[in-house]
Amino acid sequence: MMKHFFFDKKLLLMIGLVLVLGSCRKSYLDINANPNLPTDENIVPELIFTQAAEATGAIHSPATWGFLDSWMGYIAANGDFARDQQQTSYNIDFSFSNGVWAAYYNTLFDLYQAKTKGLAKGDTAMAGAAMILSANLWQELVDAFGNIPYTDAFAVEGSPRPAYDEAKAIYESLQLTLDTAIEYMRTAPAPSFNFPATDIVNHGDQILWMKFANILKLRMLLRQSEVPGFDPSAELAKINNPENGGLPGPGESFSENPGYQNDVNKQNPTFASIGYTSAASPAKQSTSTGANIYITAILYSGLGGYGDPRTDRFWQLISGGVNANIYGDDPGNSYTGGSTSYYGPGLIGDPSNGVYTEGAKQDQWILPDYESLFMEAEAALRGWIDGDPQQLFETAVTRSFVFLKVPDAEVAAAAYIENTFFANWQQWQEWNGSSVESLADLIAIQKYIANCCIDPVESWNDEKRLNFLQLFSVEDTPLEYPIDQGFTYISANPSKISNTIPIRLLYPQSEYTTNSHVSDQGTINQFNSKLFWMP
Amino acid sequence: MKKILLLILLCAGFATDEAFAQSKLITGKITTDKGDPVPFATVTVKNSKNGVASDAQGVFSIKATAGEVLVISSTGFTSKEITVGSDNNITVTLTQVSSELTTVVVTTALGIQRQAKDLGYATTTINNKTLTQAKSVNIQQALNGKISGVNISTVNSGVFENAKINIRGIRSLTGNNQPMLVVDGAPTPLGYLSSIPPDDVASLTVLKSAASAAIYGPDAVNGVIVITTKRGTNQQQPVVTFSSSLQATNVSFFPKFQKEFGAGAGETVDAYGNYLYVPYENQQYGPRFDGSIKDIGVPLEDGSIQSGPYTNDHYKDKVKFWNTGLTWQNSVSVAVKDMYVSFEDAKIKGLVPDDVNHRTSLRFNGGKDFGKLSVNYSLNYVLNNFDVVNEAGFQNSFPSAYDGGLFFLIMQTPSNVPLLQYKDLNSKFGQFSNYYNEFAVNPYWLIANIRTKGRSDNLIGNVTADYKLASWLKATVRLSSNLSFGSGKNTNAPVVVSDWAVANRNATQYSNRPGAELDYENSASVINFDYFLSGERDFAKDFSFKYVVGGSIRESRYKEVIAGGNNLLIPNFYNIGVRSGDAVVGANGISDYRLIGAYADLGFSYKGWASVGFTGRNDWDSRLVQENRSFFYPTVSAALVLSDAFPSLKNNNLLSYLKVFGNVSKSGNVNLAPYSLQVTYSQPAGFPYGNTGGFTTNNTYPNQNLKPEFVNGKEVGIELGFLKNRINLNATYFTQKNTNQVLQISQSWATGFPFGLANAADFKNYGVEGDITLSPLVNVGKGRIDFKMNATYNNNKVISTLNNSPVIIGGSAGFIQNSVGSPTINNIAVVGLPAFAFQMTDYLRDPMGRVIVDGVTGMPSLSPELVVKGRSLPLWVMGFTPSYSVGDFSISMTWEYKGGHDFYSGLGSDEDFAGISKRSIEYGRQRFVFPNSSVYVGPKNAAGIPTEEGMADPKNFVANTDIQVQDGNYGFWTGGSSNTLIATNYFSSAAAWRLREVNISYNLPLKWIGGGKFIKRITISAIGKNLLLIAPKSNQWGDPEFNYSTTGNTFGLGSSFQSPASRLYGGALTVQF
Repeated sequence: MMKHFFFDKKLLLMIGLVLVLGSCRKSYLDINANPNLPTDENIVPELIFTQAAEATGAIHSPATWGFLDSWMGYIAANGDFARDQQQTSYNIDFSFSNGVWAAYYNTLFDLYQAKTKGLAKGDTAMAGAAMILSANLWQELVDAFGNIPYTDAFAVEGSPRPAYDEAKAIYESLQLTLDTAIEYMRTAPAPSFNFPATDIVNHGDQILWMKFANILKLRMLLRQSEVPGFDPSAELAKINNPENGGLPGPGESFSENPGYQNDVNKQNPTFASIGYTSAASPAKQSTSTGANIYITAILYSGLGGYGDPRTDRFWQLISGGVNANIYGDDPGNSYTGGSTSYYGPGLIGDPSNGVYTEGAKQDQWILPDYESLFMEAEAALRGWIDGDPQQLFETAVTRSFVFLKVPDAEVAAAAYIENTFFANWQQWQEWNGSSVESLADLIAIQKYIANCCIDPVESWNDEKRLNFLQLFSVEDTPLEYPIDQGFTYISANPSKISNTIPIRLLYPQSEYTTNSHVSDQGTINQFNSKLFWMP
Repeated sequence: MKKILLLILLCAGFATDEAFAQSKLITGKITTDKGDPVPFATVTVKNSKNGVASDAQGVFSIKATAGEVLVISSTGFTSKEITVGSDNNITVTLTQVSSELTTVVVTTALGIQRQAKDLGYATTTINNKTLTQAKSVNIQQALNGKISGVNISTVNSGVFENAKINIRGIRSLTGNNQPMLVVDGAPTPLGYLSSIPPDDVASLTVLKSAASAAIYGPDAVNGVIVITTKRGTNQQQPVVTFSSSLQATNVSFFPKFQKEFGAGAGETVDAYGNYLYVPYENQQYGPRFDGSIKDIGVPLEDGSIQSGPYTNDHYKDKVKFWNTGLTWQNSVSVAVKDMYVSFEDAKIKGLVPDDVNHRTSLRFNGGKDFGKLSVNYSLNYVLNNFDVVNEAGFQNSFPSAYDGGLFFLIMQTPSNVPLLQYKDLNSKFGQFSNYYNEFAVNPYWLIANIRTKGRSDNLIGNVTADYKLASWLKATVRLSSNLSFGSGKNTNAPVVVSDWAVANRNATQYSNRPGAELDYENSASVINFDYFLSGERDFAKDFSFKYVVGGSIRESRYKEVIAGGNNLLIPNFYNIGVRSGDAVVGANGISDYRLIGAYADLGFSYKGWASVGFTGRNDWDSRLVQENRSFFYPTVSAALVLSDAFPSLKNNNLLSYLKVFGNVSKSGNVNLAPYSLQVTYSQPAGFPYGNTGGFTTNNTYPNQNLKPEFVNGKEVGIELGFLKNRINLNATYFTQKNTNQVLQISQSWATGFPFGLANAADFKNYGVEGDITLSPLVNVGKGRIDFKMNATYNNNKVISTLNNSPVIIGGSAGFIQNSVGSPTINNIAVVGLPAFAFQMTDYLRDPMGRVIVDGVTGMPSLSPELVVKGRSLPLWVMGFTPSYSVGDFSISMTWEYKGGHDFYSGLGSDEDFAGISKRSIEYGRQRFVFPNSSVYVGPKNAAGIPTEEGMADPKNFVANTDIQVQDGNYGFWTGGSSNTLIATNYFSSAAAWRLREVNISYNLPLKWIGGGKFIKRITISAIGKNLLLIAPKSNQWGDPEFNYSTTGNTFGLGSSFQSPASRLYGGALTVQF
């Protein structure tokens, strides 16, 4: 029986068939290469850089930091919408900062990929540019969260739970990163590889990139101005060394534009957030928010009581005025969406034939020139760099007018500076003294106004450093506009848990669930866990 | 040449050696003791391999020799032996026992039939009659409550009746947990289960354990549903069956809502701060209905305004809005020799007005014997056409509106508003620009204008060839293929608003927008090639030996193209070619994988009462790297029929059957999409901008070294029959340890990859399942009452996860409710807890669990930490089927109970936001003391915030008995941190009793229909499905089985995108010629 079993020819044939089918197994199963998406084997690093540069711009649109526009008194919800309890009560939870954290690390990782993959092929210019953009983002992240994962970041194999670095050490490391980036930009041949075509920020202008790096270095130094015993001289020597490219001047704004169009998902991120949809209906954030009464009152107080010429650049006027709401107020007691002043043409571009479409194509700012000039004015004021602080300050104010496309900007700015006590170097000193502190506050105030809905992050950090906004609430402030009670940017929500705005964000929920190192940072309180550079 | 001829003749002679015996053809008919035919019974010649099956009419023919014994058996009947005499035409009467314990034949893996008593694992077979008695439109609905160990969750009441099926719980945390479907021996995507007309099914067997299915390979790890479709008859005369059923659908369970207060949200208040009526509000926090005549909406362009009594006259409109749906099924089948042909047409109109799903199916089954070779084939074509409202597409047209589905729009309608009057979109108050509500769109507009329409063409075919190599060895090859082509189009009509409305009404709703469309086309194919040798052979006197050895090759391919256009240039003309701007290009892609398997199955049996089986399978899977690609897994099982082994047991009057069985198995599974091993890059939304492309690193960090998951299962069971099998019991204990679970784990964003893939978790799944059959329970005169019951207790526990971090399976990130925000709620796997627990937002509580309220405002607040509690899958699933039959009349019903689990209703939060909820009037919209609350009186820091130590000390809290919330109306009920963002407010027991099926049927007496000459049988029946849903009082919102997603492993997460639960009732007619 067994013999029969083993020598059946048909059985042997079947077994043979099984073996034959089995033997072609190897190549038959090698079909797992991804046909749908590029992988590390075929990705082109320039493509990552371009996207990351665009994302760096998008991160500076109100889509990411809109809550700071609210907290800083620029915008307020209109009467159509229920009060955002969490934001207006300052009672933020761990999920509040998820969006900021994710957006920053996501972009920083792509910049890291562009840097490492760029260096691997010798494209030091692109690597340097990625490092400069990432230094910008790292600093903003540190200023919002304090200690964060930095050294261990992006080493997913070795550190799936990256440790946290001291904020101060990150600042120091970023200075070194920027030094390296400047060196790359200085020594890379121009044009380097395909960099001019890849570079949607400075179009291959390596000198401009060096200036960008220098202003970021200066920004970190200024942030530490109130730290007792802080000595910036070593870094200043590098910034002031003309071989390193110098600091940005008027007209040297940093922005990006990959080719924005007025179409779904293709608009300038700011326009998409606070302008109009491609079908010309109000964009999401502009339907729920609009002008805040706080910034409106300040704008009305400028220029000898006739109003800041930038007012109708920041806001669309309704019946010749700005209809503004009180932040955190009860719904229904203020202007509704239809009657609240929307974001103006200085932010979202001028209308063409009455329709707002041009702003959809405009460049997305990363660091406007006026902001660099304000920083340079303060640095000059502190004797850190050469230059006349008053002149730098006035240039900065003028460049804000130009940036917002105020008609006849230079003339209008000159008149504004002449007639507005909180824009006038001399009048301010007469009222508030001529100390460095006093004039730093003046610079901060003008920077604050110029940055309305453009860079609330800088305004927030200046306020955390200099506490200058309280000057508007001083009783004898010679404000020209009759400001009545309630002149504050603090939320009107009776459930708010503090009369001051948060000075930092809490680490996001995702860190608590995925990274045990976050508990090393102890309990964070959004009002009193100070950043290392805060007074 | 002569020699060759001789050889051929010799071979031919061999092939037909049986023809030399003096056998004759015996034809017969098998009936029940009531005279009904017994279809598909097995007729074998005892002690031979000669066997046939009866046809649908119970008719068979078999070759046998006088003196031989025919054994006739069928599921649910006692088998009978008849000695062949002189009569060539016999009638056999079988007695019904509804027993699955006797010598029943079960279709097991690869379509191989095995005696149930030999099996070392649990299976349940149900026949066509059980499956079709309630005329369910699809098979999964028909299985509800009928099989122990099987949990079917219907996740929506739409026209597709989407359901998730789990057999014995789950075996993968994030991967597939649904069973494999095998139709006529061919592996078939589970999705076809809803496309196969229940009428075409001859029998359905559920193989519950991995041990029973190991031979099928990885897909069978979650159990197998084996469907055998009807085949041809053995006679020339065709049997034609016509069946028609018509069922109506209506709302069976509607959320509780308030009928006392109308619209208002504080836009206007009286001198005391009470909210006044706001005629255009979507939120119902206005004054109490008082019967006065009030405006509705806003003054229109011509200055007129709608008005009506301020009463709750129209509260029923919210229920009446839903249609009476209609399910109409017609089928005709013809069974003739060697061939079965059927045609079925099912048209389902849903609760949502205008939703329709239409299915047409054509089946052709055939087979032919050619001596040693036999060939069987089946071909099934199914066409589905559907046209439904596209609720998910709503937010594309109103990106900043109060997102949410149709249900949410309806619940934003105050009860004084005549909702049904707005059905005519051309009427004065129904037209878009004039709709009364400033913040919500007319739901009829949504139905008419945002739609998706599609079709799928499915072709399922297989051909099997068996060749009898020897009496003890058969070679089988089977080629099967499933081809599916889907296509569809989503259309968003342009929003056309009058100039007046643009100028005067809320811009969010009342802005012009162009139309948009999206087309998709996909094709899927699965090709299986199976080849195996099988047979059985007696060894020595008492030993028999069964064996299968073979292999399979599978290739699965999928391709999809999605393209669409926004900004359509011509109104109501939906083609990508008429857009402006860039086209929208979706996630186009290819997804192919291949799997090779080789297996062997050996079974020994001793004297027919002791059997042991061994199975081994090795797989090679293209989705893993070469080193990890090959994996092997074995199974061993044993069964002992003690009642046969010890005749003393069998021959007593009480016990008639006793079997014990058990098995240990391991099975491997690759729960991984193709191409998951490499870091990928993609262009984010917006890119490319003209010629500028840009790529971002995708968020999942893959792991090259991923290995298969393994399920290590154990099972022991007992089957008992008492009183000549009038009472049957069976019980099975099962436990599965699931190791090496491939998980998408969350990791820190700071790693660059917020998600990673890893073999990162273990969990165990265990339970007991059992059935009791009392057949008959009692005889009442000529009638009889039968009773069946099944129960499953199933629990599981997560043993480990990577770094013991909780793993979020899915949840609120996957659905959107309204723009104000919705609570965070997830299904989550936490070590030590069941898979899955819920993770959700809760109030800030003191150490005793009381809600902390503010000492001044009396308001509670949101806890910064999420709580984990509850479970998403039922602990208990039970089915009860009593039936009564007398003569030609029968009535049966199926009750089902599920319990021990919980669910969350997103609709609850939306209802509170809209002010329509019953909860929101619990305190008459007045200030109240928050129940079970306390106030913090401990130390605070400089900023006035309680210290951490203070919060931990129970002494720092005093019970709150008198501090009322400062606002018991809008402020509390729509406040996020006081109410709507607190997920625990909308979390309740998911327990429910359901009356799943009722069937009353009557066979018209033969004399009424001409004695059965032309028309052989007419059955009329009244049927009802899901007639009752009884839920505990804590569930104010809806069917606890509804879930926001029809795929994946989430359970118990409802949102406002599901329609209310529905019931069906109607009648059916079956005529047989």
